[in-house]
Amino acid sequence: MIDKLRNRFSLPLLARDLTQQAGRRSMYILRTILIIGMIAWVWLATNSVNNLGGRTASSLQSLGSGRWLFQDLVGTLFIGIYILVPILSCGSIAQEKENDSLQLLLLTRLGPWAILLEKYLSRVLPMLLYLFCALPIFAYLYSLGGITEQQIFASFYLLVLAILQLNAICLFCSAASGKTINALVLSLFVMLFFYVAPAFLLSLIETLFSGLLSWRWTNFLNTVSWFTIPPVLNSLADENYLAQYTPLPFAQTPSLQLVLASTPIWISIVIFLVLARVILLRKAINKSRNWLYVFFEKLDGIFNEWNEDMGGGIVLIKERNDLPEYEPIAWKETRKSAIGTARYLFRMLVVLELPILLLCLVLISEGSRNSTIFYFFSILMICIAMLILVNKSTGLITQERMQQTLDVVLTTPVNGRDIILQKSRGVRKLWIIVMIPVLTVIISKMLIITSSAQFAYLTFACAFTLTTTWLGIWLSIFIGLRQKRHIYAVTTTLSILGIWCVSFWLLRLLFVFGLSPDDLQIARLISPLEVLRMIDGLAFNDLNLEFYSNSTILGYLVYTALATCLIRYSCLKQADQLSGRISDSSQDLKPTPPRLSLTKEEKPLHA
Amino acid sequence: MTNVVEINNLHVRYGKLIAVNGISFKIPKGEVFGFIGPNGAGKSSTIKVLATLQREFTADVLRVNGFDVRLQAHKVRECIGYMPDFFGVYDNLTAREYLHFFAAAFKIDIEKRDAIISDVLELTDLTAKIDAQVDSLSRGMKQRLALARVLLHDPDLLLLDEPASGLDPRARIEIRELLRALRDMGKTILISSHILHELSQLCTSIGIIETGTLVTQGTLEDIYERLSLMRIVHAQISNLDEEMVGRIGQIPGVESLEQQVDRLAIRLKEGETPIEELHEKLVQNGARIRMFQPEAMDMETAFMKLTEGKTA
Repeated sequence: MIDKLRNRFSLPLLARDLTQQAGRRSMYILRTILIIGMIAWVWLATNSVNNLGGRTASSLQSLGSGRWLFQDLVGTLFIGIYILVPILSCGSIAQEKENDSLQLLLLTRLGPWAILLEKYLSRVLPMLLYLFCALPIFAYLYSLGGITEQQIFASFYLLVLAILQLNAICLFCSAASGKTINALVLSLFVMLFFYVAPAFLLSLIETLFSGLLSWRWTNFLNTVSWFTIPPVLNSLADENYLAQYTPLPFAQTPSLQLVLASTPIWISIVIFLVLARVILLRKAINKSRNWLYVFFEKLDGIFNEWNEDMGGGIVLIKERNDLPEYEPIAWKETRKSAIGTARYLFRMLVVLELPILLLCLVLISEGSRNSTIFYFFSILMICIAMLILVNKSTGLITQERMQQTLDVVLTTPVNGRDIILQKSRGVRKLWIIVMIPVLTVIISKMLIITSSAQFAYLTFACAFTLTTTWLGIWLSIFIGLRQKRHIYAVTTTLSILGIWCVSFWLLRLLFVFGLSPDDLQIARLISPLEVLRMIDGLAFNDLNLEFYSNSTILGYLVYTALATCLIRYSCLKQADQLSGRISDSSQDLKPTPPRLSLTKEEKPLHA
Repeated sequence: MTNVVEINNLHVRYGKLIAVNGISFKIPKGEVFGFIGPNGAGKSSTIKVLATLQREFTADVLRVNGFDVRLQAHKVRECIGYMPDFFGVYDNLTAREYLHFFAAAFKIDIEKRDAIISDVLELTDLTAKIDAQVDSLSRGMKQRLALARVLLHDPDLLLLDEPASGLDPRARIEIRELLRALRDMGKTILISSHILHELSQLCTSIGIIETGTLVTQGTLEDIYERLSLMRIVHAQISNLDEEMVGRIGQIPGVESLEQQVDRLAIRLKEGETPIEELHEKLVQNGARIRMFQPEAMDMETAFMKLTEGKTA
């Protein structure tokens, strides 16, 4: 009887996944970093609190400081969740497809829902465990005063919801994709769309067609769009704005009010889980195909049909069907790779550029009141461009490794430096294409700002975009050379870029009260997001900030360019070594005398 | 005779794991050297070292065509043709594009490329598939295309790592015939495999490797003689009865007898009784022989005798 019950309620997939995750080296590293990070944070926080009132100050003066520290901690935890969850969860189903084991799982007595939920729990539970590690720090901050139990409950509840919601999104993307890397890219796009698009579209509708929606509808849609984002809901709950923002019942019991306000998040979790269930079986048997490729194929069909109907089949760019001459790798990258040919690049440009161009034209016609929309718009476009470039650049070597073609190329006389340089040709073409929409946004904004700021804004914004993306490309190539799998290379690169973007914020968090305004100004030049904000500020002719901003932006451009040159040099210099073959000069290889006897720890293979 | 490959005391380690433990051998020009061993014995690691794809190793001597693999890797790459144990082909190219890609990588003159590609395709019997997508080719064809690629720059040494693995019988025979043709062309070949029967028909010498150590090497005849392997003769005797079996068992040099459904398997000690003599002695003992067929010496026996079956 007990055995029957145990069989009935056993969760084999969950148990296997948890065991596998627990044994991974990367998870050990993650846990160690997390614990060290928390200890360091508590130490720095204590240090900051001690310095708050000077040495002579009584401990009473530090009372209430827990509130600021708590807000910073919760913010960091949200960032951690938004970085870690996609990386850890995107492979949940896609990896089974890569190993051809999903079909075998579907043949067992586990139903699709059981597979989905066990996979979901296998990713949610470790993240919740990490979150629980932060509870002692919550208690410590509570002892410093300034926060209530209600605030702790609200933040903890919303952090849990963020984990549940993100995991549901990633599970859906994983079920929809055949490869982990595709699942990761798709989940980033879905997240971007899900969190940003509704609010962006609403504000756009409000700007362009004011009066189209009634005040009530606008307010309702706005509320729903913001309430689906846990960090936004957290900041509203933290400032006690929930009741003011929307007329919710249970005004006397804020906890219940928060639970009610989080209904859109719960609904979104259920929707994504149901979508994952629907798509799981449909995509289980289908051979994995690049979704971008499929999208362009469909688009191709439509364009060809229009061309035939309206133009009689005019061909503007004829694809050259030539053979390689002296640079075969560059030929393959630019003529034979999926997103390397002129035809596809042109189509990509049309898909990206046309809607942006139209949108920009409308916004320009509306005048300078739309300049803040352009700021978010340019961030969005740079993020999309970076995502495309990182995916392509990291795959230059890792894709060859995964397709088992790298060894064959490495035994040819083409040296490592040439292999990298020729491979980067395809990325360069793609870079030009994805830069065009970004530059369209920049130029459009330039047209609506005051003429005195136009030159500085255009120069700095263009230089910022070009140097930052160029750095992203070479960083991706460098990491791609070191990593064996594409997904690891993409996640590592995106993590580094993500930390770089929020570095100023993290630095401020680490030295909460320790930085002077001058130090802060210097620290700003580390973070691209801060520098982009400064460039945006130039558009408003903020004279007080102009001197500081110009020097900071110039500093940023110089160090980014230098870092790019350094990474590029390192890539080309170590190309042979990192790709795993003996370098041509072989200066780095010094033959060591062989040992005749083995130490105790060493064992012959299979012995 | 000049040696194309010279390896002395090669060690390859992956962390604390020893993949190759002090291997030494030489391959003279024009020889086909069969590298035999179970999975994970160190065959691929040794071949990777010769293909300049293994950075971490130690060796007293390691030369290909007289070039030091560590110090003249670039020159070594120009005189080897490496075929890994996987296809290593780009699926999105046609056979023509694939071969042109590698012809360009090996810096072959543009004017000569078409003729060379046509020759190697003819040799590998893929001329009809020149414009077919690599993706659409069968496993055997892909393997032959990989061989065609290896031959493009006319290398002195071919490093073939399990060229027949995963192929169906027909494709395997086709590859074997192709390798024979290459042997007849005078190419030096280092081929690894665990399909012993095929290697015995192809190789001029073999090396048997187990757990990173070369347990024996030499020509097949040398190895059989060294191992004193017994030979088996299959005979159909029409008047075979218990008495006759007893008489045959008494013939000097006969190790044992095994009565099978339609024949008698006579196991002989190597070097004691020549097969012709056995036939004579059977007749002298009154046997009426319907069939007399000596079994070829097989490498499987040699392999089983030499290795201990250590596996992971």
